Amino acid sequence: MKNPPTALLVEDDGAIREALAEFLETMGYQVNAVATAEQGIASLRAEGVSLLVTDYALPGESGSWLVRQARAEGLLRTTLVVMVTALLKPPVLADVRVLRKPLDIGQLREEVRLPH
Amino acid sequence: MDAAKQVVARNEAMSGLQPPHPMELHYQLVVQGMEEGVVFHDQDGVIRATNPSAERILRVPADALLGRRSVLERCEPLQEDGSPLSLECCPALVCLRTGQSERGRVIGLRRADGELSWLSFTSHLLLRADGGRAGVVTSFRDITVLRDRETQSKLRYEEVSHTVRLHDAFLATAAHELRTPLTALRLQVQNLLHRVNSGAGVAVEVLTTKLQAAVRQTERLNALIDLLLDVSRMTVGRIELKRTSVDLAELARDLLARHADELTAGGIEVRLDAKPVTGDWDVARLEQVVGNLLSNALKYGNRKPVHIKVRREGASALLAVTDTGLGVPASDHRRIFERFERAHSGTQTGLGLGLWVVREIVAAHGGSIELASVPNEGSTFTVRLPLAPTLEAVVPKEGP
Repeated sequence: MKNPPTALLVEDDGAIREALAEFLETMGYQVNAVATAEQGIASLRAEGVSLLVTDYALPGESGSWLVRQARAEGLLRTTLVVMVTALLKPPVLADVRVLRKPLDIGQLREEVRLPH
Repeated sequence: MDAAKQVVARNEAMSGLQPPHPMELHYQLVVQGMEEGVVFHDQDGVIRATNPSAERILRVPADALLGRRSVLERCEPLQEDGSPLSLECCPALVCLRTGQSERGRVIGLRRADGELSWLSFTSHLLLRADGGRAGVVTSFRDITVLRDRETQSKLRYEEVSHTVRLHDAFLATAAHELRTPLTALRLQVQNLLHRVNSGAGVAVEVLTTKLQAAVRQTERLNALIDLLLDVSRMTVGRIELKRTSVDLAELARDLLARHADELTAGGIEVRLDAKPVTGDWDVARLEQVVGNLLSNALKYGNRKPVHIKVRREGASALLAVTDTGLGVPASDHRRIFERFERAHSGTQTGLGLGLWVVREIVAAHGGSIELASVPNEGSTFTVRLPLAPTLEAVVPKEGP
């Protein structure tokens, strides 16, 4: 059987991380969940993923930093990137879908749906 | 002697002119009775007449003004921006030179005793029947009080604007903080709904765990709302202390024990060095003090061990919380105790209320808080609490 697609989830809030990971698993992803941008970049360096879901506001470096850094290192060439944030004015990054918290699972499902 | 005769006598004494026509006398009476100071410059720019208000406002007798070129000659006149004003630029002489009226020129004058007054001058050209220049009439009033009031309301306005900006930022932060547990709750419930709808069935144990996790998020939401309401109450100056006999060392130990799981999960060591010290304090409020200082130390402490020290120091208890993290530059030491402020901007989360709440609670107990910190080396917050209520703490603080 073909290996399932992989997703990296970066979210500092434990409860959100757990619930988002569960959701991504139901969408068919094999999920690696971490709490900081620094752990996120380390994970991407070790192994590329099909989907990156990252929070914007993180302790230490931000989600934007993670995306810029990973792009600069060429780690996101085949990766779909979704940023989630509770900020009223979310940051704008090219080729990054930004979803506002509280998240709607229906909307998130559309964003991360696997190609058939 | 009545007022009209006084005017006539005065005029005669000043200029040696013939007694004026009755109509002219009425005009002069009006001028003499005016609240504004009035001076008349002749066509050569020499002061020929003044009224009593001019003497009162300038605080000089009429004979010190008559024959001079400007009422400002004996003081150091200032322009509105505070720079010196040359006498040739005083309104009456400008008006005489240009033929144009000068309206509402604000000029400062330094009194003999050093006091600074601000006057508003208006000068108009007077023409003779044949069209020639008869001179200039200048009226002026003291606007020092008005100007001070204006300055004060400007300052007050800036202060209020700053508070409004802080409140806006706070609302944004509060919304952000409330969305975190709300997001978790929504995802948990939607995940469950998905499971139920997919017809896969959910084991009771799984369901119980998931629902417990959801309940925890509602508790987080509730705690945040409580904090917001508490802060709002504190802002209007009402911290009611429920004093009982409390051992601060025990309180700190209990707090750490209750949060042992989270602390272990966070992976940052907390070292408690506490000797018993008992005082009359509000347990719940002091738990907030220790909790907030500890949470800051964990947040900004660079993941290195945090030290909590409790001691008795004379008639006070001392609580010191030390981290070896980011530290706070000296220029920020005052600011970080204000509402909605935080030491390090950027993506740090939290309401920015922790230290403000600590300061308010400590003050309500009659105590003090100080910060010793070196950037990139760490911070020590030291709280001192009197063991028994002091007079200061008993007297309710004045409302805003």
